Amino acid sequence: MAELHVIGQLVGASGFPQRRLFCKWGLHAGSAWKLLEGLREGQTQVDDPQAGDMAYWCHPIDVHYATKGLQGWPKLHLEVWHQDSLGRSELLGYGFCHVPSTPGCHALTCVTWRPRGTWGERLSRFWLGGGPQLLAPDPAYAADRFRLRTEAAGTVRLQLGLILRHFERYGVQC
Amino acid sequence: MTAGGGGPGVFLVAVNGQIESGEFPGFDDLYCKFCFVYGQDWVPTAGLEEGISQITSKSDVSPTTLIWNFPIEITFKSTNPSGWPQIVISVYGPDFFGNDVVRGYGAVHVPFTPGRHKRTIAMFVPESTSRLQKFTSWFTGRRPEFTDPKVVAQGEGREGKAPKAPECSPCMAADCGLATHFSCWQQGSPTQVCEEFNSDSKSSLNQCYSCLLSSSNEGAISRLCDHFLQRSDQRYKEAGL
Repeated sequence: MAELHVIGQLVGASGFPQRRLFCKWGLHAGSAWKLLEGLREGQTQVDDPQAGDMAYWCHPIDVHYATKGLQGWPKLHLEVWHQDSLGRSELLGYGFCHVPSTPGCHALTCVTWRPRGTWGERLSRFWLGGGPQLLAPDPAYAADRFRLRTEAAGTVRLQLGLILRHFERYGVQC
Repeated sequence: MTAGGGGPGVFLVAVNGQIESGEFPGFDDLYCKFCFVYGQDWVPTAGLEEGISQITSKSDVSPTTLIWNFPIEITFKSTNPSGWPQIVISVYGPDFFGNDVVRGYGAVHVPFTPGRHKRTIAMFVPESTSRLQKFTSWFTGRRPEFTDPKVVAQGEGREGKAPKAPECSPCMAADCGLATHFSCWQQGSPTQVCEEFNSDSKSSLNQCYSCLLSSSNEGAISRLCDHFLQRSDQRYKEAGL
């Protein structure tokens, strides 16, 4: 079986309208992939940047996959949330990016979006916070986005390093 | 640099570098501590795993940057890239009243391609949850701090919920209550077991030690040694540690 190590960090996020951000992240892969070591999902701490716009989490990611096929290459799904001073959480963006496929160190930026809502919902979000969220942010429903109206949100920065093993035995050049 | 050594699948990672400088707007007279956090398959073979730097200040030559130039030299041996070492840096400095408070924690993975790398680590400080706590901590100088800075290098438990309690498996050598706590302690912190050590009999305690030592859980064994060194416990010598 070929093996893949993803070792890196969820560095931080910028470009969001609020400070005090945290991120819920998860790695999803196809059925041929098996997670051998590491945490597949997690939640970062809430960061309130004192200087500048970027919220830094530096959340470590260290996973070890074994695979029998190339289908379902691992993807990282992210949800950026805002925690206000009263302790309520508000969704600011969804995003995903594929794990790179060449060995080495990669600096990635993942764009995010959030559901737009109707005019009334946008007004209530402006004054009260909150706002529409996806019922099931499950990647299985990713193909069903046709009726969704979204707007752009900020970007998330990641630094991922990849180590691949035994891929050339199966005729895959990385 | 990486090198092969020993049996099949064993590799070495040698890290040479320095903590060069830091940018902390608004703070001066800071010192930093570093330590390494790594997985179970990794073991340091040479060099220093921890260090404390000098206290440095801003100057006319460099009014915004604090220069430490603090060397880092360590070599690891491993069989598995999982648990790749991370360096955890904590920065401390005086506050308005002169108390030593934490100014930042940060962690980054050691780079895994050979060559020269420069890493800039963003630092963060834990925040008090209530305003009253923020005010009293400013006053008394007792800011929120991590009891173990290594928690910065881990992904679990960051969301503020208490992490799940580790599972207790009773030690096979003895069935006293202390043995159960002992196995728990392999994952947790030694202070909660301290009271029990005082009350239990010597023989069952030695049985627990032998169980722990035979488990070859190096992290737990070193925590045990540190714990007894601090307490200068007689049992440290009796147990033959």
